[in-house]
Amino acid sequence: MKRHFRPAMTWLHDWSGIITGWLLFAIVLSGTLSVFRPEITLWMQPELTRQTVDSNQATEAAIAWLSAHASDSPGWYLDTAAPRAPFTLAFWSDKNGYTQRPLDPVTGSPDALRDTRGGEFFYRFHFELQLPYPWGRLLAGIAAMALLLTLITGIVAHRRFFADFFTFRPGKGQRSWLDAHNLLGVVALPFHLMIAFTGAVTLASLFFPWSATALYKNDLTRAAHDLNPAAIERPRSGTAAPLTPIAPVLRTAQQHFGKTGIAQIAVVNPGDRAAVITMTAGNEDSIGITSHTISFDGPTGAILAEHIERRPAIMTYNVLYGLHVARFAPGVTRWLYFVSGLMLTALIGTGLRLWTISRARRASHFGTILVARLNAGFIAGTPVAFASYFLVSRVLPAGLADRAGLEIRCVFLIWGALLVFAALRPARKAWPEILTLAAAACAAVALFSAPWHRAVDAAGAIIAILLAASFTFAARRSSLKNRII
Amino acid sequence: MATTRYRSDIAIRALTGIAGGYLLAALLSVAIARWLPLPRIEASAAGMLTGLLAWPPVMMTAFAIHSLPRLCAGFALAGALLAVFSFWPV
Repeated sequence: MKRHFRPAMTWLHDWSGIITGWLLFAIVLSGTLSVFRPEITLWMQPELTRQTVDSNQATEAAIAWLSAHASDSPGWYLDTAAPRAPFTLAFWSDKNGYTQRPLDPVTGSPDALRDTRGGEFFYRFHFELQLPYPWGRLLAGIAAMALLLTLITGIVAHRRFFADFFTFRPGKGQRSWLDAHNLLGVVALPFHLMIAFTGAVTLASLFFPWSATALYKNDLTRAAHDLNPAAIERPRSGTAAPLTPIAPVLRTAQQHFGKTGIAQIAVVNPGDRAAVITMTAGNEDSIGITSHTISFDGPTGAILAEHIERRPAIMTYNVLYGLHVARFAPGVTRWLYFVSGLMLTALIGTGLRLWTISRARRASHFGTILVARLNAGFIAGTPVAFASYFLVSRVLPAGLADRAGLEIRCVFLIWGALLVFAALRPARKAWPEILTLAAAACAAVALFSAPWHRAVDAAGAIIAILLAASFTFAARRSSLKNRII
Repeated sequence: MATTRYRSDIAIRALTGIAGGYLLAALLSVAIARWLPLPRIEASAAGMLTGLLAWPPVMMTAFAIHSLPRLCAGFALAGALLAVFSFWPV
């Protein structure tokens, strides 16, 4: 190992970066898109044209529809309608297993809405990687820790931290890439460190449960109850009992929550005498998640328990969690998250590229060539695959069977095809080709946003055009001569 | 540079940093959780967050200390100390 601290840390930065870089690139890009999760769902649901909805009316309609059509489900989990998401997002189980669908705010039914995962696809992929539980989440948690490690070692490796802030020397090959990498890293460094650590925090109970298992002696039901004392767990009684009318319960919850309103509603054991309705307050006025919870008895509507979070360590945990998911964020903050997320994506992309550029001069080694080729496949190919999700969503007929599943399969097919293509082609050719494809895909997303009546369609088109322009620029730069790899 | 010796050195450090670092961080989280005079759930959360923060620096240490025997001895000592605090009957 290197004798001195900085070279040792530079070495660690390079290797942890190249090993986890591709995975992190996909995680960070999908996470960046998840900032606009409800907006993406809305974009993919052209039927939802209503600008404003009454959240309580939408919830009543949703509960009525679920009572009639999903009474066998062990639970219903609702994200209530909000200005950003004028629909109730419901999660329940039917004969085909668990489904998550937006419900129409007026009828409460999903039937008139096309079957799509919308923004939920990017959100789920961000931490589950389309892998079975718990493997995707474990992998994502470890990736978050690796990102944190790579960021810290990157700071150590970076010799002229503040001077480089003002340094960019374009058109100088490796030097320019390093300047760009440093600039992207330094400008949004607090965001990068925050998002990496809080990302690990959101999954920590899965890969780092030891303090809880030690204190609770494996009685994790008890730990879950202590974490949120207002979450009532009771088994199904087997005796049927209709659910209390939901409107008065909503009013009571609203009185307790004040202006933050109701964000989430869980109905466990619906139609049973042991049914429980749990409501969680929104967090527009606090960073932390789940700060206020109330549980109601299902058949009577009586309050069973109420909890307002004031315990310091749990609040710290909730605030860290809340910083990551950014539900608190007003519009401007959300855009900052989005832009910083794009910068982190670019930071990882430039880092991966630097790894091969700095090795290309020495010897053309099979490993280096393969990494260079897969870099083109991942860095340029992932945006194409993600953009194609939007395109496929517009192209597939609305009434198609298993439409949502088909949309997602298309993303992975296109992604895989591009990786194979890149692996078989010299990197200097694959780069401009796939980047041009990315530009074309983004331009198509802008066109497919037509007729641009709704705000999400117009905003989606603007982002897509800006991305198309960036990819066009990148494609032209990458096709210049004297590119080594 | 890519000799067998160099490779085994890297392999040992990676193992010490990743697995040993995880173990040290886990022990630290348990030790903190057990000795903090807080309700169980509070202590668990505090331990978990501290452990998470500790893992990256421990990982860096595994690559920063030049002497391999010294590194392994240091990790073993830290592990033993934390294990005492983690498993000592309170």
